[in-house]
Amino acid sequence: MKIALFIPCLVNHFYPEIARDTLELLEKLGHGVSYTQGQTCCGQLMTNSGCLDQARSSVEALGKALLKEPCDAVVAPAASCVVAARENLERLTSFEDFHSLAGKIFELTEFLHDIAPLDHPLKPLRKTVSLQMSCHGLRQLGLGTASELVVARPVNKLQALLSRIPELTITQPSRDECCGFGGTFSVDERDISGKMANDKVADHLATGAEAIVGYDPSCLMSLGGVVSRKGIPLEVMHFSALLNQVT
Amino acid sequence: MSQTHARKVETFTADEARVDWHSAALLALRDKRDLQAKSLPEWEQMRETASRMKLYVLSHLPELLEQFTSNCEANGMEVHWARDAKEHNEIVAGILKERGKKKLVKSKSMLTEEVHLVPHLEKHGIECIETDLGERILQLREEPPSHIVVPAIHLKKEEIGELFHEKIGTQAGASDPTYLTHAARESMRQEFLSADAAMTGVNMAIADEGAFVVCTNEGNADMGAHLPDLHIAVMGMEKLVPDADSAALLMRMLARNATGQPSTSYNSIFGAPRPGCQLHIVIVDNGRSLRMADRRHAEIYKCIRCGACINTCPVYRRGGGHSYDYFIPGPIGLAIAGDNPEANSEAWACTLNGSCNNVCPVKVPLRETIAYHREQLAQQKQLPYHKNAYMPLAGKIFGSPRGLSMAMAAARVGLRIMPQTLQRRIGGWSKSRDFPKPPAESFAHWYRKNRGE
Amino acid sequence: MASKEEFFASLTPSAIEPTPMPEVAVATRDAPLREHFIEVLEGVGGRLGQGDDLGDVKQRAAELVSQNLQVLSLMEGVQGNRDPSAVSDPHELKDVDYTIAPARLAVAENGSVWISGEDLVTRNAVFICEHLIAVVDENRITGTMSEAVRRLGKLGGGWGVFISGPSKTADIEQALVMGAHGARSMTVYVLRGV
Repeated sequence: MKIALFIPCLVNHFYPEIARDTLELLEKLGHGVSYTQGQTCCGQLMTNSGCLDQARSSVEALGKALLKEPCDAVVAPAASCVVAARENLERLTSFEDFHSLAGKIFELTEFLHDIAPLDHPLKPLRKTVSLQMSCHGLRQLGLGTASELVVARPVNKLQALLSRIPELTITQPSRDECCGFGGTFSVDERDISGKMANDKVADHLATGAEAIVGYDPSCLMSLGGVVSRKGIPLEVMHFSALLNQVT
Repeated sequence: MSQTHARKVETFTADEARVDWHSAALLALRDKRDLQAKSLPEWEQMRETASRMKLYVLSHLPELLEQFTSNCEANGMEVHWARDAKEHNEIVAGILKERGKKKLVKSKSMLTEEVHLVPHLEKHGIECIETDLGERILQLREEPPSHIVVPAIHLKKEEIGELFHEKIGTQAGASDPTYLTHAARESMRQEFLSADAAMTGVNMAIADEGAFVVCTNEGNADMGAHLPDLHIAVMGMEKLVPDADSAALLMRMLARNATGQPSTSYNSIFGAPRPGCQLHIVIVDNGRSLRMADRRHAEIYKCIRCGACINTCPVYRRGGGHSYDYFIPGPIGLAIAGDNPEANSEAWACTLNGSCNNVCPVKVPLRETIAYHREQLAQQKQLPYHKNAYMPLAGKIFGSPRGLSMAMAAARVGLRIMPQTLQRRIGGWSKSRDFPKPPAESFAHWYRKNRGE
Repeated sequence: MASKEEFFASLTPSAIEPTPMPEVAVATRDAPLREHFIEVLEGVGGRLGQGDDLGDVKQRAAELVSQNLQVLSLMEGVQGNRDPSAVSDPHELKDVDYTIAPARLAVAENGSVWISGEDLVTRNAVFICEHLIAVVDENRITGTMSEAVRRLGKLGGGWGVFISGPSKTADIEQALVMGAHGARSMTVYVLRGV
């Protein structure tokens, strides 16, 4: 498949290794991958605070950059940015091409699970990881079945992908509760947000895992911030790093 | 302008052990709710049906109100109409005073909190006794409820023990819940027996029957209503359901979702007054129809007040119910009143995680409604937390690839050169978290260098 | 104070698009309903009466009377020591220890029984007592609340209550305590059908 990478601003500027892992992984899986310069923010920072007008130019600039190269699918290693990009391209722009672009943006987990299913043989990895099922991916993108729902066959697409790695042990925290990041919430409501992040790290730690693995870099940044502050012996990583390592 | 939510939680969050205790109590309710929901394979179908049934009700209110009224009247009840809180309180005071009533026992009703009924009746010399144990505790403490279903969830048994020692003469230092509950039972029994009027809320008003359902665990609504010769039931007009099948559907969901019980202990269905007694129903608008005229706000009135969204809300559990400006806390409170510019930080007391949407038995789009209130406040330039100032700036920077690149590069440099001790003193984010370690270059830069263009 | 007309005139039309009434499915449950009912009853703090014949209820009533307890029986054929026909005001029942009442239906999924006001001398008879004994025919057990409400027929014009276990509260630190304002205990006799 011909893939255009959408690398959200936080990943681009603070976690470039997630973007490189995503790029390399997709290439190893046989996809043609391109990246276009000039990508901005999905608008989430502004729209999460209700500032739709302030988000428009950013969303348009992002749309323009992503349209530079023709592709079959746009893939991003960040769930909440995918939710925002899709929603904002639809509701904040009137350009037809932006609307059809919105329809082919996929988060990396859903791309590897639903669009171009991962069937590559993977190398074994002896490690215990705890899955961070962040809320936008879980409840808006359906990367898993949220614990509130009564479903006969719950799914967890991240677990399904990672369980293909031989010898990897996968655990999950006791709850799929929000980690407390929430964009500007992490600053505005610093007490509650900090407490939620601490509770989430404790829940991951209690699983006995060596690493927290997730699909949303912003949540991982928040959890990583607690891990670093408290000197907790846990790695915090995007799942693309794991998959790239074993592919 | 009231204090921001972030400021209001500070007293509560200062005691971390208490936060953990509070959160665990509510999570226990959420867990019991999950077990009950999962015991019914048809649960998700029930939610969908209940949601559509309530949409039917909200889009056919005038007809259903007419039908309910004429059936209630045919069944010997008297129906009153209140456009707002003031009318409601005047109607209730009027009914009581006309009949020379002096003492009212009331069961829990969020509506009476909304319209501030009790202070109004007290002004008229009518004594009001809250009979739900939690509400009674708060009445004695002169404090508002912190939750709509478990109103005293924020209190420790020792605090209640002290209160009861002072107010109803329990042993000093006693804090055993069974002892305290039974002491309250004895004390409240005298209140029930000496009351000359009773008030209840309404959980479901069945239009085609002219009957209504009142659900309690304690039996206080029934104990009150079946002693004196006057019963006043008050209801927001959204409590209507078309028929008994719909009421049964909600009865199957309400307690399961609220407290994880298969049913409340009592589901009492009132279809007529007791012989020789009077039953009055007061139907209230008080801003409901106005909110329902806004499509993106309207679905909050599907709510059946189970409180499950509050129990699952990670912000509520860690901040407590008294940190909100509106009398209903948590997601449903924010969805109802989060557009209030006087309490403009409320709509931001939410991470938009969406767990509330998933537990809601009638699928109120809580997350989307809260997000909508943020939009409304943004349009009115009534944003909290300095957002009026920095959001336009952020919009400009993020809207320009070059501007964004430069700003982020500056942030990386800043974090690299700023000593960690200073970073930790910035506050906000860094109050409990370190900033990420900045990489030397962005991905865009790396890509240009290594992959060319 | 508003008249009904003024109230209706003040209603702003709802922005919710006219939505048709969905079909509300009546959920059912399969046998064995008796066992299901008993399991849930005990789960909500209720007790199963010892014996499954009206004679067992009569015997229990006699035992209670012999212990000098105040027993109000509203169950035909079961003798208490309070005369139901003499009750003119519910306040008179404040010293009743046991009320024995017939239940017209039971609901397996939530362990409740339906008691109709028509079977009580006064509605409060099943709340004001210290202990409640309900008697139901096993053939009157329905699977779900929805089925039960269907079987009740008309609700307007009368009064009745589904009672699921004793009166309870958890308002003090979420500790479950039986006996808040209503009956401290609830026993259900499930009679074998004929």
